[in-house]
Amino acid sequence: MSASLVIAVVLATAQSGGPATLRSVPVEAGWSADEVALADLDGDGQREVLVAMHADERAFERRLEAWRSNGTQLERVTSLALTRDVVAFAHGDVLAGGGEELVLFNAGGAFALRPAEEARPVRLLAADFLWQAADPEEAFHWEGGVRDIDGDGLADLVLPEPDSLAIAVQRRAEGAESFGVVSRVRVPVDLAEPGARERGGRRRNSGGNAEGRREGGSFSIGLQIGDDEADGERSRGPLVSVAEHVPAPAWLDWDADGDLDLLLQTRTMLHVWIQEAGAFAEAPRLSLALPVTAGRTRELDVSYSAHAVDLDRDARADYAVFASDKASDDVRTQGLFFAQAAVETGPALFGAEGTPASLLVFAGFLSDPQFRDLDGDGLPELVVSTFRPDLIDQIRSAASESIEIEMFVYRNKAGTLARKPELAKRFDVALDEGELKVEFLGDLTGDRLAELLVRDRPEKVRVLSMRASTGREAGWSLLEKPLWELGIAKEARVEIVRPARDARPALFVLEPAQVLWVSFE
Amino acid sequence: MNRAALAPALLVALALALVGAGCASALPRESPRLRAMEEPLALAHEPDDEAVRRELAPGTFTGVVVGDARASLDAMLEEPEGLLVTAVVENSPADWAGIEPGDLLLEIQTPEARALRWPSEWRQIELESEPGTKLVLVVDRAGAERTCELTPEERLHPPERIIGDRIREEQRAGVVLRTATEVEARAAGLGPGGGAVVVGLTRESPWRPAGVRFGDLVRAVDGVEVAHPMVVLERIRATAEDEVELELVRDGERVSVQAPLTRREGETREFSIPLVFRYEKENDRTSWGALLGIVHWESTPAAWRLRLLWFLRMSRGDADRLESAEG
Repeated sequence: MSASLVIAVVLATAQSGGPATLRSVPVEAGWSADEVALADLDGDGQREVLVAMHADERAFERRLEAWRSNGTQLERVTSLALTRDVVAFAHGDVLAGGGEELVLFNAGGAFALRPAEEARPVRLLAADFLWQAADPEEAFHWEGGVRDIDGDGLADLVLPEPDSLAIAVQRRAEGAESFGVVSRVRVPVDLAEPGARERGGRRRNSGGNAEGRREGGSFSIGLQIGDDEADGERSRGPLVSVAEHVPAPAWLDWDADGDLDLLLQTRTMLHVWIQEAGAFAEAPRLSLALPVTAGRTRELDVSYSAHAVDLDRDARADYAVFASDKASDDVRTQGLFFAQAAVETGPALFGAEGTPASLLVFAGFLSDPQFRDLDGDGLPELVVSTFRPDLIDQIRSAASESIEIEMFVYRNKAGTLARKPELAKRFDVALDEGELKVEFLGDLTGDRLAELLVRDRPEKVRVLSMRASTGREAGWSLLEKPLWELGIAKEARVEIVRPARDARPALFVLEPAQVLWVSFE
Repeated sequence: MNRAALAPALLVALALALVGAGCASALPRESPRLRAMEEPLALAHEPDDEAVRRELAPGTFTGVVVGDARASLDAMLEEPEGLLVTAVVENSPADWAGIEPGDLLLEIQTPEARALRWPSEWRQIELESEPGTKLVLVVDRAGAERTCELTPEERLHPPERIIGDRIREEQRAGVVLRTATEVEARAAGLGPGGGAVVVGLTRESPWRPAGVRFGDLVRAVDGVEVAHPMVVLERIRATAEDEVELELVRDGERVSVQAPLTRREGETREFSIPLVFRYEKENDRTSWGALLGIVHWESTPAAWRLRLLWFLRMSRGDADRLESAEG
């Protein structure tokens, strides 16, 4: 290779900026970006970026913008002002004609809108949407509202209603209503209690309180109307108090028949609905008593979380629950894994005794367990972050400027999680404005091993490569030198968007003046 | 074969013939893809006629800023009724008349009675009115109707340029329309914001052979003035006829065109003769059965299965998928 050619290759590599392409979506002054999504709105096979934003100083001034990639540049293809009743949005191919449509949700149901083309929406489904009141500052991205339930390649609708879920399967027969077949799955009332920790508060209004919350295990909405400051004194209670909730759905094949079934967890039970040709019965087919209930004492358990996951890839849903070990003197967390394949007698999944198929014990508290295939074998590995039991004391005393959080990866071998972690990594997270975000992105380098996105400093985000070693020191490790890194605004929010059909996710950095779109092509 | 056995066989043959007639042709299930839409680059942007617009007579000034009255998704399902007052200029004729932001202007009673639906109609009134002419309006405020009188004054400066919309119709005509600029609209005798310019046509659009060309301005559809491109879209959607009459403005001349509309033919999805024959097609799954289920055939792109006499079965492919499809 000639010297000039080598220089040219080096220059080209440098200009490409590594494995990622960076594009910037400008955010107009006085506006803030809230949510991002990727959707092919014009049907050309390339996804556009959808950005939901709101005006900083004006209530209910919200809009959705779509930006199309034109090389490294972006061009705005539409800017759609949202009416005051729009609570949430999603996207999906819900109308004939090619390309995806915007799906808007209000208190009365779901509507489709072709952005940039038609000013009039199309009503898809009438439903008593759980979130009745729109947020004056945000239309939130309700991803779970649109997904292919019956496996026919057409997007279907899932809407939470008070104590039930409305599931509408799309049909495209001429003359037939597109979403005419609606199943209403009713959660048994006596057990329908919120069953998981709050992930994030959504809003608080002045003049009475109204809160909508997305939670790890349930959706809930609360409304209080009252005069908090009557005559300068706090009133005794609200005049009106409404609380509605429904557990979050988990869609997995329960019975290995090739279609998705529905799992809902309440405080004490796991309910299973079996799909029958795109339809669901009102009552669950199975109601299984949870071996670890999510009662009131668990509300204070920061480590508690429950997950439906197919651990052994037998097309039958398994179950994992993480909870503090109350019997232990030390602060430690147990991970209990239940597999349908391990149950020979008694009720499905949990068996007669509620004995787990396997067990893992973690020192300290557990945060945000994730199941993700990291080595390309189709089996999900377990990724957990743990922090020390004296964390709160550590923060209170400000003894150090950072806290230690350890991440562990447990490899899934033939459907069983290894007893020892395949990867252990310690992160020092800055206390001031510190927020640790570690999430595996998928294989970006072609070695079948996933790469890790890390934000342990507010002003930087980086991607670390994972490598496998053999021999006595067999295991996975992370390369210290980042595969890619980017300086970002301290107050920026980092979001990972995983398109349904693509393994490679996109990274979005929501800064005050722009949204950075990082695609790993 | 005796007559008793022959009768069901004839019915089956008849049913098969009917189903065959229904399914023989490969009819399109979807509208044309957006890729088939041709939108000339030259029409991608509005013409730069701002200098010309500023030279046009500005008309009168009322001080009312109006917008679409539909403030929710449910309201947007219907045609707009009235104009929403989004702002009132302080110390303007509208301010003196007691009009407030949030009011709905439902109709104008004098000098000529007409309902108000699109902002271009209000701009048209401002252009056509003489300063000092009294306008009597019916206004809706919080559900209560009232009448008010508004006297426009001479406008000193041209109003803000209107930002147009692009409307795409791909079910019956295959056309992309954009709002005409004020210069184009007023040349066609419409208010600013009215008129729809054809900026895209699908390759298969029935409007092409009918003589509709890129750049034509649709002035009226079936005799209704196009106060907004949505008027064209609504008419295409609503009409039960197979064509609409378009009044076009092309190179300054008015041209009338009978523009056909397509109807997409559906597929036969289900057919049955009770106890004798049943045919069903759902997405890629086809099944039929005959003679109380003695013969049953089921197929998907991945597998097929034939069942005879309820217990003889033959299948090939991924039979599990058939089970799931059968439910």
